[in-house]
This record gives sequence, structure tokens and C-alpha cells, in this order.
Amino acid sequence: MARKLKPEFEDSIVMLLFIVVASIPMAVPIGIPVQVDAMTNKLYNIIENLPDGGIVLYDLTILNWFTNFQSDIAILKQILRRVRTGELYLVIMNEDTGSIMGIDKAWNTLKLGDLQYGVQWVWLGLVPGAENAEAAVAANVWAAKETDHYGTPLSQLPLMQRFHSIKDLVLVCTGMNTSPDPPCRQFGGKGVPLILQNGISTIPLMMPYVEAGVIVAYMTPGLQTAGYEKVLGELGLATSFADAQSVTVLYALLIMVLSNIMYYRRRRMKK
Amino acid sequence: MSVLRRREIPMALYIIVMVYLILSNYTGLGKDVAANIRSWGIAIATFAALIGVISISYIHLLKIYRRRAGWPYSIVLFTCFIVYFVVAHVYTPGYNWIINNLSIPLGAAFLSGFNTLGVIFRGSRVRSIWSLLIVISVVFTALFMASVGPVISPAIVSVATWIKDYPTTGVFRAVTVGIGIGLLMLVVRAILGMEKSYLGEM
Repeated sequence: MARKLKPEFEDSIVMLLFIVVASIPMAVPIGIPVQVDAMTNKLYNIIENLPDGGIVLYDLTILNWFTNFQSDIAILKQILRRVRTGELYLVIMNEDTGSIMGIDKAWNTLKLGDLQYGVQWVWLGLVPGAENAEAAVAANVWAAKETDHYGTPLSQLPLMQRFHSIKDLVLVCTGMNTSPDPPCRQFGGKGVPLILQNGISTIPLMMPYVEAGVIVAYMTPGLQTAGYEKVLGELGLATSFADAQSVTVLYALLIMVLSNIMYYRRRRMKK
Repeated sequence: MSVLRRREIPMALYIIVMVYLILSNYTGLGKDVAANIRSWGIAIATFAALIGVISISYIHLLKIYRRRAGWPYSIVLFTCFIVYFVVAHVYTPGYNWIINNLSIPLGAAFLSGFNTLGVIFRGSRVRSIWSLLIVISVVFTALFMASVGPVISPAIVSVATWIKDYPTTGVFRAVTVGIGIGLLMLVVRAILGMEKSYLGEM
């Protein structure tokens, strides 16, 4: 019977079962404890120990609410804690239109309403051009963008009077979903710590930069972000997905085994 | 041939700007002009969105008009594009609804689940000793990335950390160095006028 099944139906069954498996933790919470790794603690301590009065640039680049954005939101929550106490100041920019699209949801989650716009934080909005945008902002943000997202000239924003280039910052945070090379080239190695939020599969790509000290800490969605939320004491999206991630990983491993069994069975039948 | 159509002009502009930016970066001279040149890049990137709109309209309208293969999908795509574009500029709550209830969940479902599972199902077949090594690495790394991994066995964490820190990091260090050398070669080729891909030549 399995031999007659068309490949597209096989895929459909795999996906259908995936939906069922991923739904199990909603009905029966597993509650596996989340462990906090050394990199997560390092990232947390870097933000906690940033000098008072410093400006942080957050380059929000990716919109995938359930993966990369959960890490962005968690990191921003920690930075905003210190912004609220007047210890840090925050400038946010976006490199692509995708991250702009879901930004309202991010602002609602972060509850920025109590902050004084222009003084405690500024949103530069879209700075298109990918790596070129990073290079331009790092070299001279005033030449890269004349106004903020709302069209207010930078000259009218008190916070921007202290931010002209990367040298005025105490930290740059940015997100990628592929190669970490562009932000490392443009923000890294300039005397300002760089924190990178990137997909889990890109850890090996980031490691050479981590060992070289270009990336001081990284954050990946899923388990690491769940651990970070635990350290923060603010459970969020990553924590709520931790159980689902565990069962889907087990399901994926089962699929790998089944895929190989089917493959070898068919090969033997062909012979 | 018209002077304006000669390829030496864009090549000269490209090389002069690139050499200027490199010199400015390493000497600190003319930094303001270099910053302005970079901001031109940002302005050009903004126009890329306009080119995208023209391109998507042209390709799909032509496909629908000529009834080429898959034209009904073009109707769906073009309709969604128009609806989304209009709603974004006319009715903000509707735009937010589309983003929060359609775009974000569908994107997450596709990228995080179905796409990955499809790759696992089709791509994890052990056909050689090398693919077996990859599959074993995937098993340890996947379990390491989920909270269930350390619960099954603490050894999973040790093995996965070793895989991450040594074999994969070693390989990607070589890849990173290779990319760096490749970029340097690209710059040298461009300065010598040998690199012409930006003119549409191979």
C-alpha cells in the first residue's frame, strides 16, 4: 500500500500529522524545564552592564513573529527596562519592509506608550538598502536618514543630537535570518559590542565571529529565547512554544526514521 | 555608438566611487562625501520597491492576458496584491488584520513547520556514509535545540556542543575566510575593469 502512495500524498500525511502532534501540548502541557545556557547569561549580563546614559541601536530586520521576532521582542524587553529607568536610550531602525509590516504588533507587545518619544527612544523607520543601509547608518546616520519614521526631522529629536555615528553607541543589536556577514562587516569591529539575533541553523555561521569577538553574544529563537525569558522573569512567546518545539523535534526525528525505512524498503522491492 | 551608451562611462563611475569609498574608509579623508554616496544607495534601494511593483504587474498581467501555464494563480496573486495595497493606504485596521491574522501565521506555518518538515522527509535519506554522518549530527543538534534533549540524556548536550564548536565551526571558519578572499578578488577584478556583472554581463 505504501508503495502505491503518491509522493504528494505522503507529504500531506506528514504535514497533517505535524498539525496533530504540534497541537498535543495545547491539550496536555508537558512542562519540560527550560535550561539556560552560558550564551544566554552572557547576553543578559552584557545588556545589564551597559554604561548609564548610553544609546542602543536596534536594527529590526526580520518579520517572522513566531521565530525571529520572539527573540527581538525578548531582547527589547530587557533594553526597555533600562530605558524606562532612564539608564539607556534606544534607537530602532528597520532594514526591510517585512519588519515594518508587523511593527504595530511589536509596539503593542512592548507597551512603549509610557516612554517619551524623541527623548527616550526614536524610531528611524525603514532604511532600505540592506548592507548599504547598515554601512550608511554606522558611518553617518544623519546622512542616511533625514527624518524619523513619522517624518520628524532628526534635528528636532533630542536623542538624535547625541547619535551621529556608531561611535556614539554603547551597543548594536541586529537580526538576520541567513548569513551574519553583513552586520559583522558593517557594525562589527568598530569598538561597539554587537549582539546578533539569528536563526538556529546559523549558529555555525556565527561561531567564527563569536570567537573573534566581533559578535559579543547571539540569541536564537526557540529554546535559547525561552531560557532568556526565564532569566528575564517575563515569559513570552518562546516559552509558550517550548513544549510544542520538543514534540515537533521528536516528530521530525520519527519522520527521518520512517523516511529511511520507506526508502530502503522501496529500493529492495525494485531489486 | 552614442557616447551615453558606451559601457566605459558606468564602469568609470563604478570604479571611481568604489576606490573613493575604500580610500575614505581607510584614511578617514572625505568622510562626509562618502556618507552622501552611501545615502544615494539608500535612495536607489527605495526605487527598487517601485521596480518591484511595475515588475509584478507586468509579469502577471501578461501571464493572465496570454493564458500562460498557471495563469489562475496569477489572478490570485495580483488580486491579493491590489487588495493589500489599497487596504494598506485606505483602511489601517484592515491592514493590521491581514498582517496579524493572515500574513504572520501563514508565514510562520510555512517557514517554521511545513517547509522544514518537507526538507526533513525528502532530504534525510541515508544513501552513503557521509549522509549518515549528517543525519546523526542532525539528530543530536535537533534534540539539543529542544528542551526535551537534555531530559533524554545529558550526553546529547555534550555531543551537540562538540559538533557545534568543532566540526561545524571549523568548516564555517574556512567558508568565512573563503568569502573574504572572494570579496577581495571581486574588488580587485572590479578595479581592473574585469568584473562587469553590474552591467548585466556575465
